[in-house]
Amino acid sequence: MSQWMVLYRKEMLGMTRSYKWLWIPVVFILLGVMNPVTTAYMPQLLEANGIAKEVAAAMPVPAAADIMLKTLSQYNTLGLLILALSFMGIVSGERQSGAAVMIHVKPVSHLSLATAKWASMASLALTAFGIGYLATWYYTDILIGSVPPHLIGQSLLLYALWLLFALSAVLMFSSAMDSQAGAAFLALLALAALSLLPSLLGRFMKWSPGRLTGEAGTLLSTGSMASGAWLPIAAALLLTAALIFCSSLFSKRKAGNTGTK
Amino acid sequence: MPDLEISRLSKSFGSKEAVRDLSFTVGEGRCAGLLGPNGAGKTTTLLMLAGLLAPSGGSISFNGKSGGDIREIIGYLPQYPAYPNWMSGREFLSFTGRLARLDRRDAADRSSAILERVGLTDAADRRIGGYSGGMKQRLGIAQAIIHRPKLLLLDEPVSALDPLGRREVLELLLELKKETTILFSTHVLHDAEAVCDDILIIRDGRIALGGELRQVMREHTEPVLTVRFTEPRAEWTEALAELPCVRHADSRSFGVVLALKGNPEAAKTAVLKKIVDRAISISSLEFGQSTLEDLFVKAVRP
Repeated sequence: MSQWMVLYRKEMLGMTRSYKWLWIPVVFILLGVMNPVTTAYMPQLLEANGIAKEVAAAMPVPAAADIMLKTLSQYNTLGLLILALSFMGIVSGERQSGAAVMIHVKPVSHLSLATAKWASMASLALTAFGIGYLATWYYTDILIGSVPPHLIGQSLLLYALWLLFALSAVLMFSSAMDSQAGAAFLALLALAALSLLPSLLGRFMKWSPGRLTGEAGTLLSTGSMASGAWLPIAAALLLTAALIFCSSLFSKRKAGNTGTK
Repeated sequence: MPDLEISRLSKSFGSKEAVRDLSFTVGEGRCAGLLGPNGAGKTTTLLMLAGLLAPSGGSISFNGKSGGDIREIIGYLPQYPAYPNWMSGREFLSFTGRLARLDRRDAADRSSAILERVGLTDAADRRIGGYSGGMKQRLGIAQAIIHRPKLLLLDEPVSALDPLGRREVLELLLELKKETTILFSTHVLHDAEAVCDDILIIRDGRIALGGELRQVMREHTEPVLTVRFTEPRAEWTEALAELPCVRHADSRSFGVVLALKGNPEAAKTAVLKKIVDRAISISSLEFGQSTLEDLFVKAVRP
């Protein structure tokens, strides 16, 4: 356990030294808070740009829940992109440089290395998302209207689960591939497929963890969870564990790649 | 008593056999040099010993035990050590020490002591990204010995260093030799001669020649006579090569190197006589023994 903590702390320190702990939360806050702020000041913004007051006044003001929903969908595109890009080299980068060998020659299991890396990614991503989402809620509450706290809490948990799954996919592709850009691309492609396919092949994709975003949205707008929500939740938990395990297998298979061959 | 025993070890990458049927032993407390030309399979062998590469066949046993995780008792230095560049030397050392199951206090104490030993105390708290090649090499040795390993595997520890760095590392090896078993690969024969007890020359993934250095040298070296001509002339070389006491003549730009056989004194006289008879104009004549380098070239030449 203490060895696992050493690995985890090393990853966290690396993220701090590369300023990831600064800019990723900042991006998530800006991305989220932008929504209630621009919506609330839309009439003034339009007016300042020379658009008639009547038109501006006729713009429908969206409900507070819709603002939160829009934020989640933005996290799902730009947010995931940022996370994938900043973690795409978490395994392959070390392997390519040859620094991974220095860890593999010590009595460290590949599984504890993979879980420590995943836990450090999760700590950063969930902190950034949590702060960003709560900040958005705060501004929505001040500027637009209130959303009940229990709905915020539950939707936050649902989306956090999807994020954990997404991170495990990035970790797995980073372990399996030597190209960092390739890993980010494939991870994003897989996540996009899991998000989009349920609406195309509804019957076969009911289990898709990609549905968690939609479930969080349903929860926000209707106030209650859909009855079938347990399936993507269970699938996300199971697949996250499976992907982390796969990642450890890949890193074991490639441990002898010293970066020079 | 053999400490490290390798038997019929092999490794193939696709159709290419990097190591085949390699067998050797390294006794406890010995320092063995793994010599061979580039591509002979030195790095592959060390990677398998370090547990980073799974062998295609054969077995590795340490202290009579085979299989299992031997990483706790080995220290390994890769050919091109690389580090997380954002860490300081001290941070990295205590990190690797902790991974090797030292507790926090022990890891910190050992780090300071070893940094001192490899001469990195002044740079200990600077980022590794700013280290020179020699400093990175020394840090690599430091991380390999942080957990007091019983077996130290070093892949080309001196090849990338300048003469000064090389001497420092060799001195360090001579000290470490007293504490642990060492197996290191190199293609710098002079260095091997300076620190090794045993040598293993491998070629095409097999042992071409191996054993205790002194004994190998005794058995395989032969008296040689280096004749330098004032001007290179093929007929002079031929005249000397024809002598019955010359086993082998190696023509060089400066003259010829003659490997002698039979009674060295008689052979010397015969060569000198020939030089006088043929009025060969020589600039120097040196009598000596063939070196490890000659031995190496002979062993690995196809």
